[in-house]
Amino acid sequence: MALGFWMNNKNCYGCKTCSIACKSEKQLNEGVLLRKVSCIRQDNPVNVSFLSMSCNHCEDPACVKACPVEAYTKLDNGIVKQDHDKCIGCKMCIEACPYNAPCYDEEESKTYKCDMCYDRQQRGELPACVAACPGANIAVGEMEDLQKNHQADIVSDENSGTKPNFVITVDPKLNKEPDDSAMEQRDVEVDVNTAAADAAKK
Amino acid sequence: MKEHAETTMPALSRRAFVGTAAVTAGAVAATSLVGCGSTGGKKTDKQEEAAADPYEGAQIFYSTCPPECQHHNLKAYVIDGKIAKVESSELNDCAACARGIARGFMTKDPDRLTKPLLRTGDKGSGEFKEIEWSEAFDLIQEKFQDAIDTDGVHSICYVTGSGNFGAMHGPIASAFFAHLGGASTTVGSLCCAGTSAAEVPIYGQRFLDTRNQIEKSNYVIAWGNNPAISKQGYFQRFEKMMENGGKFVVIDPICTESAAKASEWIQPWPGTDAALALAMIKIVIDEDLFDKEFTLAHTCAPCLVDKTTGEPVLQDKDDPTSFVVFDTKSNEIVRHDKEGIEAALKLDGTSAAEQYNTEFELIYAEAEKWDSAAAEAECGVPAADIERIAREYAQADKAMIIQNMGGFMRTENGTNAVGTQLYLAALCGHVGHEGDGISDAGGVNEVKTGSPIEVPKVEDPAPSIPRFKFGEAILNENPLKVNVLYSMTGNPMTQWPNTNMVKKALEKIPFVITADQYLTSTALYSDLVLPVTGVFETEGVLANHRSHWIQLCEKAVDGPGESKSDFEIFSELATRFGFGDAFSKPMDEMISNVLEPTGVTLDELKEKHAVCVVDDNYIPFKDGEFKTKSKKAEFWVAAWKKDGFNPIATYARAEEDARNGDELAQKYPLFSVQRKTYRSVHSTFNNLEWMNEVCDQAPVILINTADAEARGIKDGDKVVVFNDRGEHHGIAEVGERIKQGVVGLQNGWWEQQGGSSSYVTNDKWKTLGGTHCCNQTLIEVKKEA
Repeated sequence: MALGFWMNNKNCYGCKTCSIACKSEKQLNEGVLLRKVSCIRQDNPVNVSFLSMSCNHCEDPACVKACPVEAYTKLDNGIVKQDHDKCIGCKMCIEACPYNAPCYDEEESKTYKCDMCYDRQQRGELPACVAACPGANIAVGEMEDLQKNHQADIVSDENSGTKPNFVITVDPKLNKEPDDSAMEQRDVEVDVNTAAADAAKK
Repeated sequence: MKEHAETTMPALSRRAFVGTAAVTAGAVAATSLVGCGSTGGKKTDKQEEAAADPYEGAQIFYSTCPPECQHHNLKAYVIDGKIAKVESSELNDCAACARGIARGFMTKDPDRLTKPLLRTGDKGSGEFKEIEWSEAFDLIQEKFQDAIDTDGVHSICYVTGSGNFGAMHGPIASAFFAHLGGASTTVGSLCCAGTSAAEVPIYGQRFLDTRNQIEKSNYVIAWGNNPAISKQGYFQRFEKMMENGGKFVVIDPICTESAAKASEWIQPWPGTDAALALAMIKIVIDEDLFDKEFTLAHTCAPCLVDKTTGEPVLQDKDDPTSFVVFDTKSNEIVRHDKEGIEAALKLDGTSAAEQYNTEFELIYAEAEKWDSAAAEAECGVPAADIERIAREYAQADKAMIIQNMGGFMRTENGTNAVGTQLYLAALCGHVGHEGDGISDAGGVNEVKTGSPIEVPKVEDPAPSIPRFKFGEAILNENPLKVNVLYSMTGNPMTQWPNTNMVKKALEKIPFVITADQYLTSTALYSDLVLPVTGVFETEGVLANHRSHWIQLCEKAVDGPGESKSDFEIFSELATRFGFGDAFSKPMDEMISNVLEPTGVTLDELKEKHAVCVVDDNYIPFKDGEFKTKSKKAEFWVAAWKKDGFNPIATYARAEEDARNGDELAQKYPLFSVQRKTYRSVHSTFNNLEWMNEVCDQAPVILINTADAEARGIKDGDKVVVFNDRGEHHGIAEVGERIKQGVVGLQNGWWEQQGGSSSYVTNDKWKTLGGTHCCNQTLIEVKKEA
C-alpha cells in the first residue's frame, strides 16, 4: 500500500496552475515552490511537453535517511511527511533528494516539502494541485490503482535508487527521441528534470 | 495510442524520463481519489495523526477574475481579516488558472499602491511623492476645470482598457465623463476589430461561443489563437475531443502550447490567413464538398448583386431583408425567401447572367485567385496540406473553427480573414449544430445587461482620437488638443502599438492621471497615480462578453493602505462637480440596474454568487438561424463598401510584409508576431513575484534555428529586436517552434521588466474594420552588444 501521484505528460499544457495552487494552499513564502512544472523541448517542435512534479513519496526516501534530526517520516500510507518544527534548515534533504523536491525557505531558514496535502485528504478533499489542475492531468491514489488505470505509463523503479511513487502517462510523441546521447545534448530546461536524469544514470 | 505503447517503452526507459522502467496498463481514467486516509489494521507510530484544518472557521467570499479572459469564479478564505488563500470556486465548469489563484497574493502584495502619488522627477523616472487624497482630488478638480475653461471638456481625454470587465469600472467612467459634458476618448480596438467588422454584419451578432460544443466536435481548427493559454480551463475539452477520435488543427506561425498538443500544426506566413481560407473555399466549391442545401436555406449566397451599381438587389428598397434570387424553376427573379423556389448559385446560361452576379459568384471570384499553388506561394503552407485540411474540414461530420479574437485578426487583412472563415463555415453548413460553429470569445451576449448609472446624452460629442496613432494625434493636436488624460483599467505603455509614440504623447500631455493597483508602465509616465482596489477588495458585478456566468463580486477585505475603488473616486469627483446624487447610489441599486434586463435578481445572485445564463448545450445560430435581419448569413457587407473597401472578403498582400522586396523589407527582413504567456493576461499579473517563480523571468524571443544561425545567435543569448519604431529586449529561444522567417515576441512585459514588445509593433491606421496590425510587423534581431 502506497499513495502516489499520477501525472499526464501527454495532455499537460504547462499552465503552472498546480504550482501556484500548492503555493496558495500552503501559504508559502517567496521563492518556495513544492511542485514545479518543467518544459521538455526536443528538435521536433510539436514534441514540446511538460512535466509537473513534486515529492514522489519514495518507497526508499533519501530525505528520511539524510535528515540529521529525523524530521521526516515515511507513513504507513506511503506519504513522506516532514515535521516542520524539527527542521533545522540544514538542506541535507535537498542535496539527497534525486528529484529536488524539498525547497528551502530563505525567510524562515527552514525547508518545506510536499506532504501530499495529507490534511486535505483526511477531510476527503483532493490535494490542492490535483483539485486545481484545469486539465485534470494530476491525480493521487494507491500506486496499484494508478498503474492499473493509466495507459502507456512509466512508473518509478529501481533506477533512481529511491523507488519514487510516481506514475506518468507519457506523451507518445516523445517516442521519436533517439537515445540517451541526444537527450544529454538537448536537455530539459529546469533543474528538476536534470536531477531526475542524473539520478537515473547512477 | 495502444500501438505506440509497446514501441514507446524501451525508448523511454533508456532515456530515463524520471528514472524509471515501463509498465503498460488500461485506458486513461478520470482523476479520482483512491484509498486515502486511514490504512486500517494495527496502529503504528508511522500512521498519520489527525491534522488540523488550517482553513477551519475561515470566512468565505466569492468574486470573479475580471480581466479580458474567461472570468472564472473565485473563492477566498479570510482568516484574521486577511485572505489566506484563493481557489477556483465550485461554481465553475472548469478550473480557474494560476493567475486567478494569485488574486489572494495580490491583496497582500507589498508592491501594491497604498497612497496617491504625485510625480516629482521627470516622466518615466519613477520619482514620486505620496500625497493625501484631499490633495489628489483638489488637483484633479483643478486640472479638469482648467482644461474645460481653456479648451473645453473635449480636451479631457479618458481611456479605459480590458483590465477589469466589472460593471463598476468602465461603465462608471463613461457615465462620469458624459456627466462632465463629454470628454474625448480613443477609437480603435486593440483586440477584435476584425470580428466586430465581419461577424456582426455577416452573421448578425458576435460574442457567441461554441465552448459547450467542443467535445462533441470531430474536427476543430484553432485559427491563429492559442486556447491552451487563452481558453485555459477549457483546453481539456479539445483534448477530450481528440481522445474521442477527433482531429485538432492549429494554424499559427508559432508552435504554441496548443499546437504541441494538437493533431496537426499548420504554419502560414503572418497575415496571410484570408488567402488560406479563400484557397480552402475554392477547393470545397470546385470539388463540390460544400453543403448546398444549407447554403441555399441559410445564406445569401444566391442573392443577386447588380453589376451596374455593385449593390445587392432589393425587391423593396425600404425592406433590407427583401433580397432577390434567380429561381431556376420559373426562370424568374423572386424574393429569396419565397416558398418552393430553386435559387441559382451560379447564373451562367440564365437570363440574369448579364446584369447580375450572385454573392456566391462574387465569393468564388475572390477564391479563384487562390488555387492551392498560388496559396502555397503566398501563405507558405504546402498546397497538399491546404487541399487536405479543406477537404477534411468540409467533409467532417461536425467541424468547428475557434477564432477567439486570435492574433490572425490583428493584421492588415484581419477583417478579411475573419470574413473568409465565416464564408467557409456557412458554405460548408458547419454553423448552428451540435459540435460545429465559429467560436468568438464569449459570452452572455444573448442576454442584455444594463448600465449601473444612467449615462446622459452628450450634446456635443468629441471627435475620437485614433488609438493606434495616439502619439501623432497628441503631438499634432489633431483632431484635438488634450490637456488632461485619465487612464484606468488599462496600460497603454505596454499594450498600444508603437510604444515610443505613446511615450511621447504621455510626455506631452500636461497632466496624466493613472488609476491602478500597481505602478504600471503607464503610471511611470503619469503625473498623478491613484491607488485603486482590486478583486475581493470592492463590491460589484460582472455580466459581460466572456463568461457564461453573471457573477457577484463580493468584498472580502479592505484594499491596501488608502486605496479606493474606481467608483469611489468618481463618486467624490461627481460631488465636487455637482452632479447631484447621480453617483451617490447604493451599490445594491447599481448592481440591480446592471441585472435588470437579464432577469436575474440581486437576491438570487447574493444567494448563488454566480448564475449561469448559457445553456449547457448552447449552440450559437442554432439550426442555421443567423441574427441578421434576413436571418441568413449576409456575405456582402455594405459597411466595407462605404469605407472604400471590397464588400466581399478578399486578400491582398499587406503593406508590411517581408516578401515585398521594398526598402522596409530589405532593412527588416523578419516577420514578428505577438504571443500570449501563462504569466499574464495582457499586462495584468505580469509583474507578480509569484509568476516569476513559475514562468519565464524575462521576455523570451522565439527565433527559428536558421534565422538565429544566420545572425550568430544561440539559445539563451540576450538579443534585441528592432525596427525604426523601437527596440524590444529579451532572451533568445532558438529552435523549430516557429516558422523560419518569423520571430515570436511575448506580449505583456512591463517597462520595469525591460519593456513591452509593442515598442516595435505596426501602428497602421486605418485598415478594413480598423484592425490593430501588431502581427504585421517587420523587424531585425541581433545579439546584444
